Amino acid sequence: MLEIRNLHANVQGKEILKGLSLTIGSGEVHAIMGPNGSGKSTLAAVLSGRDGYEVTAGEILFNGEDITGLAPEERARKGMFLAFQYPVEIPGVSNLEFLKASLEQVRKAQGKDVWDAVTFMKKAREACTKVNLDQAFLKRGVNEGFSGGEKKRNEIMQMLLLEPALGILDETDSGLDIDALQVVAQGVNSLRDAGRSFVLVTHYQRLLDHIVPDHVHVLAGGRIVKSGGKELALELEEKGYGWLKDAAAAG
Amino acid sequence: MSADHDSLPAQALALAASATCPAWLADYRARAQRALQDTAFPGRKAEAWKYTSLHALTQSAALAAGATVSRASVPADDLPPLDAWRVVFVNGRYDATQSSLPAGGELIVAPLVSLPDAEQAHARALLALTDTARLPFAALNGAAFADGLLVRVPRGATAGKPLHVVFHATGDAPATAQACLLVSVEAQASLTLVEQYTGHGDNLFTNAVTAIDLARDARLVHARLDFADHRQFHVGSLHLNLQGGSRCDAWQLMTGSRLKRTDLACTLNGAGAELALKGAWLVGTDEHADTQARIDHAQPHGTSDQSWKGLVGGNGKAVFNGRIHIHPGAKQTSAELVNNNLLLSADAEVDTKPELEIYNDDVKCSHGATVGQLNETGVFYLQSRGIARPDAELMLALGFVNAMVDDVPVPGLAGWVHGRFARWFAQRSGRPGGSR
Repeated sequence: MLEIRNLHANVQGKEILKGLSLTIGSGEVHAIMGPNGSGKSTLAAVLSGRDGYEVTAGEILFNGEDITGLAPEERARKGMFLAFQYPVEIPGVSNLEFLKASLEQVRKAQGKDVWDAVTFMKKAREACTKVNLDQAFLKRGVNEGFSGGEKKRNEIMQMLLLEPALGILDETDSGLDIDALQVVAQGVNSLRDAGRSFVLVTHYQRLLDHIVPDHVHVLAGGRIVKSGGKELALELEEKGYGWLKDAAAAG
Repeated sequence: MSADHDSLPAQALALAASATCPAWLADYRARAQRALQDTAFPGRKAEAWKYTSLHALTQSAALAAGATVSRASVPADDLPPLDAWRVVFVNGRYDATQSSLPAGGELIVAPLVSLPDAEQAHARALLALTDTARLPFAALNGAAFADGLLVRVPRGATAGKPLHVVFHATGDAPATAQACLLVSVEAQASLTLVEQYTGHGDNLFTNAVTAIDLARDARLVHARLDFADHRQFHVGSLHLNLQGGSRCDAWQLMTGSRLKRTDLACTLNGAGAELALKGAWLVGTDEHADTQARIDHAQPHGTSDQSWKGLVGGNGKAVFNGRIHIHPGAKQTSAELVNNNLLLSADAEVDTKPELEIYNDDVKCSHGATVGQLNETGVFYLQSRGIARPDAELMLALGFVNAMVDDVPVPGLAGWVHGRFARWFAQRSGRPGGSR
């Protein structure tokens, strides 16, 4: 599904990712953990093609194709989805208008039927229900005046509709109370299947109680310094990140 | 440049000399003509005209050509689909064939040239609200207008349908049209008014005056739309008088043109009057729009709440001056003004200036203005959902101004305005992304 090979990336001339390699198979859920400033959010941004994040070496293969030079919308149309840590407010553009434009572009690019208005509304309402978001939010400006939890649930709602092949969740658990965390986790879990993969970028272990990962990686100093199964997350929770810093320095 | 300003008064006076008007308007006409003679037409040294040159107007043949009488249908595409009474003026003249007037009772609508005697005093009272001494183009209008419209909602009445007044400027030859709209909403009466300027063709100048009086506890919803051909010239002024307890919810929506200048003079002239004003200007390639909003709080307990947004692309230039004047007696006034602008290109220009003049301590006032560019994080957010960059920019830019009209309480209007904004973006903004 996704193969990252020796990825180096700069932000404002400073190297943040320093030779990161990672392979994610179909149907797998990978958690990327690590201390603040380790490059977690940079990885999410680089994967989604954000401007200002410069790949200086290495490559990113998505279903075998090098996507390093592709614009964000092209990656989205190929089935990548980034759930933002800080979803953006877009006043004057209703959630419905936004979702409709997004779904049209993505489904068309993927050779799927573009939903007619009735089907679209039905699907949008269902997705709202699944993430416990009142349908009134569909008519409001995108994320406009939404609480932190509502914004995160709106991200998951979009993901449910777009049905991406690869979902990248950037600190989606930050700022969520336990109820909202469960709603988000249920949304992700409902999408899990053999053909769909997830990357969960998170600082804390608690999200992984609800979305159980197949693999856990620790990012430190711009590289993956340790990989393991779900039990690694528990170990990190217990010991913190300090004991891995030597490994990072040595690597 | 000085030749321009010398020729303007001469051209204006020549226009005024050739104008005819009903006898009952002779006093007002004479007063306006005197004001015109006494007024120096503004040069750029005048603060209020610092950023707006009249050069293009004085160099065009429009003003010298004067009024033309011609008939033309307003294209259906120019009109929002409203369930409303409609009155159409073409090149300054009332056109009965395109108008549908109410039968009377709760809403009196009559052209000035055929105004019943009983309504003449109302019209004269409204004309007295126009500030011809301060605004030279209002003086020119008073000195040269050939027709106009009186609208009156009698005491306690509620107009059953909105009133849509259209001033259409069209023709192949250069011409000037004076537009005059007089509106009286009497005590406890209520009206929804859509005032619209439309037009096609080059070298046409519309000089508009609107005077509105809201009596005690009257209600008015007023939308002023100006999406006429960008090659035209438009100077307009709105004189709004709010008496005690009255409320006006107003929208000023426009696209730019070769020369566009709009002066708003709103006076909260009775205790507890309320004014909520939203505006948007979209100014693109070779376009100019200058809006001067002046709010006078003359009485206590008044509220004015203004929000203006500008979208400026190409080499367009937008000018805004928002002046709030709080008079000594206007205690417990609340006045807010905000103006946010979005620049779509490096050549676009905005000159915005809020001004506060406060002569009472017991008031709450705030004002602010911003000029910025498209939010890159917002663009990326939309891109990350599969929306191509030009379309993402379009959505963000239009969302910025569309939000200003979402709550216009006139069914059918907001959607139509959104369409006009989208058309402006595709044709005039100087940006790609008109594909959607």
